[in-house]
Amino acid sequence: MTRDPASRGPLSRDAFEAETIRFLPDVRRFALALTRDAAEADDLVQETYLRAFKARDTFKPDGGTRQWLFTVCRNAFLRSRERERWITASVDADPGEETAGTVALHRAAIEAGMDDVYDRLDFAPALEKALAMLAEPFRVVFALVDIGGLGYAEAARELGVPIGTVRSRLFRARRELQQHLMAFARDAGIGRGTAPGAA
Amino acid sequence: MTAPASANCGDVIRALWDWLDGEMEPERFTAIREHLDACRGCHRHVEFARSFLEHVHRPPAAAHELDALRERVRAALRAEPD
Repeated sequence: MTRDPASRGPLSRDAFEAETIRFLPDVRRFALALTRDAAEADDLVQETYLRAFKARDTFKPDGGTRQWLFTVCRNAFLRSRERERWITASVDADPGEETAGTVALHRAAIEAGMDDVYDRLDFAPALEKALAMLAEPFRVVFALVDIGGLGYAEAARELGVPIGTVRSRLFRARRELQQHLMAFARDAGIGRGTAPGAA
Repeated sequence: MTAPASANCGDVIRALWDWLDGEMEPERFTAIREHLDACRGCHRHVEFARSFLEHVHRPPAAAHELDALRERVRAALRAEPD
């Protein structure tokens, strides 16, 4: 994002809009992953753009405009939540066990002829539906890392939790999401046999 | 964490996501990559997981159903003082 050449002040409204509005679908997807609710996501997107506009003179182009909007969005979201909830919200599983569970899921999927399940699914709406089924602590870590592009340490700092908690929540989110996606695929007639991971 | 001189299937399974996310020391990353080059079973699991992440990371299509939201955001911005 560049400043008006004629001015040393912050971006004009038009320049700000021209630079940021094209990322609205990305911000909306990120907001929806955080909130799970379409109306709440829309409100969060609007708040993100207003906060970003007010703070436009602080924009630093290191990570790009899209990443900057994600930062504003997640800060707006996290400030609207009680941070303590992230610390005590759940009993976290062992990251190694979660990963092993994912591999078992993959093994079952391969045996059921579902190697290419993600190519055959209408992936974006299926993921949105699966995300809505995740508990909030897992969904938020997934949104920060897998949609927002944060590293594990950055996500841990954002949430005020240990990095091991980010790992276990992220890995559990990915396992549960894949479990739901495979169930949707089976319902759509993709693959054969029983749904992997269906308990 | 001490980097193993070589990785076995168990190491790869436990480190699947860390490896794909690049969240590990370079020596350990290399040890796992070398194992994957030689182990078809582990390679298949990693490719499955990679496929999931690639689909997740794909940017959303610029959907026209967001037109109303886009207009709402534009209107809110126009209501802000410069």
